[in-house]
Amino acid sequence: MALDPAMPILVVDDYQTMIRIIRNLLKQLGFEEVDDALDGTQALAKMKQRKYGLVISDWNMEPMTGYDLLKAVRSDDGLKEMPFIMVTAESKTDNVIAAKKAGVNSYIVKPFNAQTLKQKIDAIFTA
Amino acid sequence: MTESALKAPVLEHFSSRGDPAPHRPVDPTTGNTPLAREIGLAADYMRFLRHELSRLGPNEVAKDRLPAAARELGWIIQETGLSTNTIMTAAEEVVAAADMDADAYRTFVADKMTAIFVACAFQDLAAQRGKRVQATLSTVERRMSRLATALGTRDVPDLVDFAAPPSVAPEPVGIGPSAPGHCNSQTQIDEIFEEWTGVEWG
Repeated sequence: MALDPAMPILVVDDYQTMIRIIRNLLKQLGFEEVDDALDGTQALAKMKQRKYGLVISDWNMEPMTGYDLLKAVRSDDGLKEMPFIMVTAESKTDNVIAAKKAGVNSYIVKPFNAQTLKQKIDAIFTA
Repeated sequence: MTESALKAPVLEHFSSRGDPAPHRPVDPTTGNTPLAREIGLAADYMRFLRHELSRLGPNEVAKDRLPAAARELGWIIQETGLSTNTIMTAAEEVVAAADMDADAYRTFVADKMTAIFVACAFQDLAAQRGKRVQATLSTVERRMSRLATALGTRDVPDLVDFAAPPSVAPEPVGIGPSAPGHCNSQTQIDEIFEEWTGVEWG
């Protein structure tokens, strides 16, 4: 996959502050097209309406968690190849392994910095 | 419950208050306790239980302390959110003003930095509110501990711990941020991620 700075990115988090932080970091990295959703259900609906190049999602959200969103994306024929980064406060080994088993491309633990976000995005699109 | 088990906390309770201990004559030949004495002991024990429960201050805890603590936590969330918004807005405006005239930019940035410094006062307020919540929790903890000690109560072996995820969970449970120093770092997470090669989807 080639990295296209013009690709739309979907940020999923139930805290507006975190959405804002990630949006600002993405802007600094050259990504201007950023949409957001407050939980997995909203995100899935948006993904069915618009073709995103990347999803960056939190884990702990209601009614649909980021983990459940990931599984839903990977089981949808039209969405299953979507690059997906989990950005979450969940740092337990079980959670990391579960996310990888479910098909996440990368896993970032909060709090994180711009360099980490850039590294993970670059790694996905140059793999 | 045996007579001695009934009697001991009751006697201790009345003696600590300076009240005369209830006297229940025991048949010296059989050691049996007449039914009326048993009922009396049970009544004394219930009075003792009610006294200990009232020392727990359940009404104060339920109607005053815990609701007040919940309000403090709500205000912490609200005030930290507002301050964060102020800080982020100031930072975004500084970033957006990079093309400004140099002198105007300096003044502009100085004003925004002042706004950020002032907004950081949220930490002071949050800390004060947090201390009040801590004090409430400590009070409840002390009273519960005193009640458990007075009653000689032990927890049941199969006590459900709602704070911890079940030992055999069908899916990983999200419990939010871990305590500082008790979580995997990004480097550790990267290692776990790289080592695990099995993927179930696709």
